[in-house]
Parts: sequence; structure tokens; C-alpha cells
Amino acid sequence: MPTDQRLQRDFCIVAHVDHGKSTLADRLLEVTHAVDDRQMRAQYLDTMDLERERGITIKAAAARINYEAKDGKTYVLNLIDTPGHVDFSYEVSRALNACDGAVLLVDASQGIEAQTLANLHLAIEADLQIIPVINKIDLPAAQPEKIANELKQVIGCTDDEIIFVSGKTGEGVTELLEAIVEKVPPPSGDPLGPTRALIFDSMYDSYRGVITYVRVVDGEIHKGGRVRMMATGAEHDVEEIGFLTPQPVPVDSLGAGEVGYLITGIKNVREARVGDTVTDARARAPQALPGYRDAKPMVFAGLYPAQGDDYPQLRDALDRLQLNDASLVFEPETSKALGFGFRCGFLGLLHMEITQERLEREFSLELVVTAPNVAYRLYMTDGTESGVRNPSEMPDPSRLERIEEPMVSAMVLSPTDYVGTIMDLCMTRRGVLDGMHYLSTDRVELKYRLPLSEIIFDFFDQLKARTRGYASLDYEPVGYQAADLVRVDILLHGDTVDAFSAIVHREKAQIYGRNMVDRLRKLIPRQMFDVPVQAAIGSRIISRETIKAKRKDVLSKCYGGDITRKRKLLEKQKKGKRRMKQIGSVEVPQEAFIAALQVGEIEEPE
Amino acid sequence: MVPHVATLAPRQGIYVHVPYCLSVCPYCDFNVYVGGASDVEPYLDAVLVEARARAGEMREPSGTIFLGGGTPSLIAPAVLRGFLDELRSILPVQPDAEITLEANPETVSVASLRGYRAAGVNRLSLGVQSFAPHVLAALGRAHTPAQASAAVASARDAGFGNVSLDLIFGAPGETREDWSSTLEQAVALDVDHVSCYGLTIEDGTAFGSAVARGRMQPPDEDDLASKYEAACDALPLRHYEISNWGEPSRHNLIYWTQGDYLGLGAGAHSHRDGVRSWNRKLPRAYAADPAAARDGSETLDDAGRAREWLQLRLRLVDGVDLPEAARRLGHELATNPVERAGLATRNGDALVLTRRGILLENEVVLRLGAA
Repeated sequence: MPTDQRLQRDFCIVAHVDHGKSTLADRLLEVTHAVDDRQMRAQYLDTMDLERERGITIKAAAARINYEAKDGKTYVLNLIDTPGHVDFSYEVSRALNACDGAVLLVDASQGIEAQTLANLHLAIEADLQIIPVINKIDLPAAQPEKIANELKQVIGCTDDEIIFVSGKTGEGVTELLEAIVEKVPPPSGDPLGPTRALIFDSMYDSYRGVITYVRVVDGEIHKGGRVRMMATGAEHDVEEIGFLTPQPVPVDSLGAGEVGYLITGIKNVREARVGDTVTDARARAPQALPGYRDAKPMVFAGLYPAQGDDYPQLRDALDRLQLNDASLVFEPETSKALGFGFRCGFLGLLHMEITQERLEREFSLELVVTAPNVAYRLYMTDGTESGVRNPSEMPDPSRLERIEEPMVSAMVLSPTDYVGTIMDLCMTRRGVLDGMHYLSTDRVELKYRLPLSEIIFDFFDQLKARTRGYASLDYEPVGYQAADLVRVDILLHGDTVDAFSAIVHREKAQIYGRNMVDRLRKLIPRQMFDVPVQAAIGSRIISRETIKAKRKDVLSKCYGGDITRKRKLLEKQKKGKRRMKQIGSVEVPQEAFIAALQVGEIEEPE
Repeated sequence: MVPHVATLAPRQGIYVHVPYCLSVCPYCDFNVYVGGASDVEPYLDAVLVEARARAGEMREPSGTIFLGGGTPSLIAPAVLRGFLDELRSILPVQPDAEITLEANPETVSVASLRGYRAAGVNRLSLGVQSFAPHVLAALGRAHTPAQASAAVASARDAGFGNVSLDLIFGAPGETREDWSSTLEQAVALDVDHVSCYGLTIEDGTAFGSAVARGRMQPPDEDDLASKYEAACDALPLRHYEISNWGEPSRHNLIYWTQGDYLGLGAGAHSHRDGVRSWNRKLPRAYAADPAAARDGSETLDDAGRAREWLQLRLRLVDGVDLPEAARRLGHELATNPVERAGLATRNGDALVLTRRGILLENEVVLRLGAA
């Protein structure tokens, strides 16, 4: 028997990475005894080790809480967890759409951050009831009044609407639960209508296949029934259905307003896309729930095994990751410099880093990753259009009419002291100021329109460095725009090294070229002959250095007849030579390649 | 025609390691410890114990005895005489054997050198390193340039007909002029043999840790190459091995020709018919049971032995006899990759390193597939 909608509250917590969301969630579960004390471990909702270490949530999950309110009734509170990073804003928006209310959680010493503000906007767009909460009031550095003023400014609430809590001590948690019951409206779907459930997350489990997290909006889903994914058209039998406490508890049906999981024997998360609508295959809903779109990769990079022999292992590992990550895309590519590998697409830089880290950690692969780039749109003189995801594929400029690059709308929140340095940074990154808005006398919101390519390098690190870590950033894609872009090639001894080609703005080509040439000159050991290192746009050389020919080996003395040592030294050199990548006639050590591809060291022009 | 230098190598040698120095130089990674004459005497007794235990390993009378270190000139002449007499009674040594003593210039006098000569030493190898005072200081050497010159004169006075100098180039603060001047003074002393080694930075030395901590610049490759070439140009002696000029050291030729040698003492290396072995390094551990001093060994298979032969033979300026190389390796040596790169040329049946090839000897070995 499904729960009466009037006794349900579906909500989420919107917060910045370290503002204490997971700790507060733990406290809610603890106060309502949703989790046995025995099972209680810190940060319950984060299930992946990696999330635990990085302190971020990359997979949303949910928890069903029974709460006996002061009005004497027992309510079912469904807490839906949201991912907390810019790369996953689409997933966030889907999770928000599965809720009727949002707890806006702000650290009492830090104040509201860009990410939180962005998610707050998403929550307001999704028509959620916002409950402002100030957390960590137990901290010595807490400034609850100041932060309260900021909140009032941002969401226009009154003082007595703000709840002060400490996830650490549990203070204020009961008040928060009461506020959720009072203020968050109950679900308003049609319990008797055709079934529609929103997929707000999914994960792959090697035993059970894909586990889909849903919020039923209308109708019911029954165990043993047949469901259809409205966007992909996939149909499956419901093997198991249940809710999360957060442990899975199987039930016979989930009714309108209920949040839970669904196991149907789907083997790939691609078939159960976040944002898709689940309906009854036999009594289909006429219309899907609004808001579905494909997660589109924004950032691309070549992933190559450090040892060429590991190529099949890398392919298998990517296949495995893709089972659990619908937004990861990859296709084989071949680089003259790096051999066989894959061009992979990611939602953003963090997504790329996480994927790389998982490949290295979970699959013990040693990787060479090319510098990330964005996807460009090319309009050719013959009227055709195409896309480029790998700079080395860019055609000859004479055939190009124009190139368009993806743009983002970025929001930076910062103390007012740093406005100047942030503006400088955005200017060198070809940013255009879209607006400026004071949250309080000492905190400001800056809106910039920037090329995505300019923020996938070290923009975030630079921003943090220039503001002593106080600024926060959020961005969203806002389409494509034409720009004066050129491909800069790097040549070693006359041969183009495809892995180092980059598409950059014409004005920055010189700096990029000089930087790479200088870096390679320092990294590549001297060869048996002079090696020119050049940067070129087409056939025009824009920078040049020479690695002088090697003149002398280290000659070791065969002292006292210790021939063994000398021979071992030579054997070691021989092994080292085998690890070299051969670029034309030049031998480049693997380490030099990796170092040259490191991002984040591109110097700003003086 | 001068016969190949390898034909001068005896088939058997004896090496005695003396692991003590009054102080340890900051670049030295040899098996040395701070010690003096009082440490040396009991140590030599242990060496004799080892010699007795290993006498059976020698396949024929030795053509050389080499006393290396450390500082073998810490041994008093009378003690050395007793030691060598005893050693020759235990192990068969040819009557005309080359007997070398390594000596530091500040530790010798005409009197002590006469004593060594009387003990049977007929070749003196002086650790001069440089004639520039600031370079000697940088290298942590205790002697002055004048002491080095005086040591050569004393050796002549004492009747040494075969005197060798060891020189090091590339020390911190050494200019090209310092090195040229060192070479000139070595030439002016009219010695019979000179060894020149570029400074290498080794782990576990004072220089090694200074470089690792960024407190010292490692030697510059171009500087080392130029100084090596300066030595080739300046020394009016037969350049017979990459780092050696003059009347060939018969003992060292044994190393380069894969001859047998019995290495006695702490950390000493031995070779016998493809088996390379080495002793315990710590003098105390060594002396505890010198009859069982062997710490490890390796046996090369035929292919490994042939490659090692090639590696060593490349060091000899007279070059590699290609028919012999083919016989040992079991295939013709592909010389094209080194000839084309200007690293080696043909001289009749011999493959001879060019000057550039000498400087890039490791590369030659790798390109010839001899590693």
C-alpha cells in the first residue's frame, strides 16, 4: 500500500562541497533512527571511496526517513542527495526536479558560494520551497548573523525563517525536521494516473546490473510489472523495487511521491538515462516528464596507455567505467607520438580527473593523458560543417571559413577585495563581463562570458591562488561563438608531434608556442644530433630552440676490476631506451612526454 | 706494426684492496673508510689468510700485483715488504711481474719510496688529480701541487722507472685554463703514464648529496667533453684506452681483456673464467673470516660473456677485431649504425672508435647491441 502523499515530503540539500551536507544528512538519519548506530559511519550517503576521499558526491543517492512530527503524525521524508560539482549540473537539476523542497545549507563561517548559488537558482527554477539553514554554528569562526544577512539578500527570506544548526552536535536538527514537514509541500502527482517516474540517478552493480533511482510522480510501479524508458524506448520487467533507508528495502510497489530504486536487468546505464521517464509499458503515459536531455561531453582528451601493451586493458577498463557513467564517451584514436589510445569526452575537468584516477587506481593502468581541449565547430569554405575533438584533426586554415568555440557563462563569488585580480584573470582568458552584483558589502557576484577552452586549463587553480581560496566558481554552457583560432603545431626535428598540437586564440599562439618549445628543450635529453624544436602555425615557424647534440656519456671507471657494475649500468640504459618514445629520429623519454603535457603551468603574459 | 695493446695483457693478475684513507674525498664512492697505519697492519694479515684459502683459484702464475685503495701508501715500507714476500710465497707470481702501488703525494718521501722499491714495487701510481690549488681543495685533497711534483721527483730518485699520474677533470670551480695547465704540468713531469677521468657524481658521496639538495651543480656535459678533448690533444703519450695514456698498465689490461684476477681484501672483485665474484665490503666483516670473504658472484653465459668482451674491447683504442667479434658473438657485428653516426671507423679488420665515439662510448655499446 503506497504511502499517502499528504504524509510525504521529498527534499534535497543544496550546499557547497565542504559546508557539511553529508554530516547533516548523517545527523538526520541518526535522529530518526533510519540507520542503526552500529551501521552508522561518517558520511553515509557517499558510497564510493573516491567520493569519501575527495569529499565530494559524484553519485546521488537517497534515504527514506520516518519522522514522528510534533503534530503526532508520522511522515515519510525522502532525502535526495545531489552531486555537488559544476561538471554535474544536469544531474543536479534532475535530482532537484525529483523534490518539492530544498534545504539551502550554508557554512556559518564561509557564507554562500558560487556553486550553491547556481544550484539555488536551479532549485528556484524547479519551483522548490527553499529552507535556509546556517550550519556549523558551533565553530569558533562562525558569523551566523553576517551569513544570515547574506541569505536574506539572496533569497529574500526573513530572520525567523532561517534555521541555525550544527551537524556536528545535532543542535537545531529537530527544528529543521519540523520545518521540512511544515514548509515543504507534499507531492502533487496523480496517484491514479498513468505511471510516470523520473530517473534522477543510476548506477551499475556487477551483481544486479543497473540500479535506477526514481521518484514516482504519477501512478505506481509494481514488482513484476513491465516498464518502458520513454526516451530510449528500452522495455524491461521490474525484477525488484524498493526504497532506501539508505539500505535497499524491497517492496511490492512504489506509489506517487515515493522515492526508491528499480532493478530491471538493464546492463548498461546508457539505457536508463538520468532525466528519462519510466512508464508502464502496457499503459504508457502520453507524455514524458519535462527536462530530459543527453549529457553532452564538453571536454576531450586523448588517453593512452603508458605501456603500449596495455591498450586492450585500457579498452576493457573504459568499457567497465562506461557501464556506470553514461556521460563518459570514447572512441579509438591513433597518435604518431603516443601510439594507440582513445579520445575521451567528459562533462568537465573534474569528471576527467576522476575518470583518470579511477582508471589508474581501480585498473592499475599507467596513463599518458594529452592536454584537454574542447570540441570546435568548423565551417568550411565549401559550405560544409564539421566538428573537431582532437586538435591534430583540424584542417588547413585555407579551407576554413570560420571556427566556433563553446562558450560558458561563469559565475564567480568572491570577497570584494579580489575583484580587480579576478577581472584581470578573466580578461587574459578572453572573458566579457556580463554583470556584477553585491551580495553584501563585502561579497560580490561576477558574471562572465568565457570560452570554455580558457577555463579548462588552470583557471580554477588561478582563481583560487589569486583570491587565497576565497572565490568560488560555477559555469554553464551557453552555445558557440566564432573566434580567431589557430592550430599551433610542435615540431621535433621537423616532425609534427600530434600529441602537442593545440587550438589556441591567435593572440596566444606565440605564448603557447614559446612555452611548449622552451619546456621541451628542457625536458628532452640531448640526442646524437642537433634537434630543432619548433612551434608553427601552418608552415610559419613562430618559435624555435635547438637541443644541442649530446657530446659525452658518463664514462665509468672499471675500478678495481668491478666490471659487473659497468655492465649493469649499460643494461639499465638499454632498458631506459626501450621505454623511449620514438618521434621520427628523436627519442623522447616517457617522463618528458608526461611533463610536457601537464596542464596548469602555462604562464600568463606579462 | 705495433701489436694490439690487448696482446700485452697477462692472463692472470692479483689485486689487493686497501680500504683505508686518512680522510674520505667528497667525490669518492670506492670502498674506503677512515683509517691509518694501525688499521692497515692487522688488515694485511687477514688478506694473507684469504690468499692462503684461495691459492687454488689461480690457474697460472700472476703477471701483476696491484695494491689499490684507499691509500695503500699508508703501509710502512717494511710492512709492505713483509706482506709482499709472504704473498709471493703463498701465490705463484712471475719474476718480472708488474707490481703497482697507489700512493697519495703527501704520504710519500724518497726514503719511503726507496723502501717500496726494495719491497718489489716497480710501478707507482700517484693520485695527483690536479695542479690547481683551488681544484685540489674542492676535491678535498690534502696535498699541494708542489707536493705532487716532488713526489714524482722522489719516485725517480728512488729508482721507479714506471710512474703514473691520476688526474680528474670537471671538478667544481675548475676552468678550462686550470685543466690545460694541469695537463701541461703533467707533461712537463715526463711521467710514463697518465689516467684522466671526468668527475662523476655518485650516490652516497658528499658531492652526491650536495647535488641532490641543489647545493652543487653537477659537472657540465660540454665542459667535460671539451676537457677530455684537451687531454687527447695535450698528452704526448700513447692513447691506448679511453681514459689512459702512456706505457700500458698491464694490470688494467687484464680487466679489459677479460683475463683472470684474484681480488683480495674487503670488497675486492675477482674474475675467473666467466665467473665474477666480490668480497664483503666492510673491513671488519671481512676480517672476521677472510677465508670465507666471498659475498656474491655471477656467472655469465657465453652470449653475455661475448657482449661483455665487446664492451670492454671498445675501450681499447686499438679497437675491436671484427673477425674475432663475429667468432665470439656467433654473428657478424652490424657496424653500420655506429659508422654512419660517425662514432667508429674501420681500420683494416678493426672497428675503432672515433674521438666522438670515445666520448659517447655507452651509445656505441648500445647501438652495437652489446649491452
